[in-house]
Amino acid sequence: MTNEREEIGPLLSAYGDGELSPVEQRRIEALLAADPELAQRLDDQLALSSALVKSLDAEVDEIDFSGFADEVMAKLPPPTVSLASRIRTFFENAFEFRKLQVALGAATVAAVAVVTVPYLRGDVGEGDRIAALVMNGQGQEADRTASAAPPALDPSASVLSVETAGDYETMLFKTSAGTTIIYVREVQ
Amino acid sequence: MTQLLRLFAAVSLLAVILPAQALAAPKATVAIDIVQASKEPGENDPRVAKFRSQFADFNYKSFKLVASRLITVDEKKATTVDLAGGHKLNVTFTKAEPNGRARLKLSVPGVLDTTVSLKRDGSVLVGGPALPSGNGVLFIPVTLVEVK
Repeated sequence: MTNEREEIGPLLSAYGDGELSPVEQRRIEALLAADPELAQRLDDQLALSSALVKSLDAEVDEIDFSGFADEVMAKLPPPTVSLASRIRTFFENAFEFRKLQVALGAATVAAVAVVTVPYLRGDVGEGDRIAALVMNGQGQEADRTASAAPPALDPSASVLSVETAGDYETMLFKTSAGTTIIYVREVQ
Repeated sequence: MTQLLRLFAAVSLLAVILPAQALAAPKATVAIDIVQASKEPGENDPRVAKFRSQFADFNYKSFKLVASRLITVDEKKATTVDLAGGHKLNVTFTKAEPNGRARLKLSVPGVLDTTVSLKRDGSVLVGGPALPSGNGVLFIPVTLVEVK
């Protein structure tokens, strides 16, 4: 019996904490029922454990933990992010949030190329290569264009201002040959 | 001593000549062609052949050179050229620009006022002033020949 008490000594504490398997638990319970001295020993351990827990709880309640987290955080070094990581994050965000803008920009470039390349290559007929802007008589462009052709970059002649009198309106042309034409006509 | 006198004389001569040249107003020489365009079929004046590409986009069927003028205008001065049908063209050389360009104000009274900047051999074509009695319209190529 004595040897068996010494053997289960370590298990008795675990039994008190409810940490044993069902088989071991049943074995300890059988021994406790058969051995009053062992049962008394378990009661003593439980009483000691309970007193220890109450004592520690009392000490913890007396400690002021207010501001504890702030003090801990204040002692931590500031977070450091590597330059490469920041650059990677920047571009990831840029691509993530600017996908639409990038797509629109690409579409615009493509549209401009489609419109201008034929003119640069000379694929457009003479009559089509003339651009016209209607002036309202005060040198201001009205919203009418004879074709989508941009005015040729012709430094040989530049129209700085145009004004018409009376019932005239002005159409400003520039041919593919670079000739600037100021055409006036009476408003019907 | 003689060399010193020669040097002094040369410097004095330059001092007289250079300001006179600097003060001389630049002059613009401008070529003006007056072309009558009509929607009535007719003979095409061979003298306007050089302008045909410029007229090609307009719905006129015959062209006739009425006159050609070569005028010289001082800076900030104006010259008037008689066109046709009672129209006149006032050419004012408003400013000599860098690189030999000239700023010209072209005015057809009662019709149009425009200011253009032309470089040497650069042209602007003023078109559309109507002629009386439905005789078509005028096309007026204006070309800067030179600025001196």
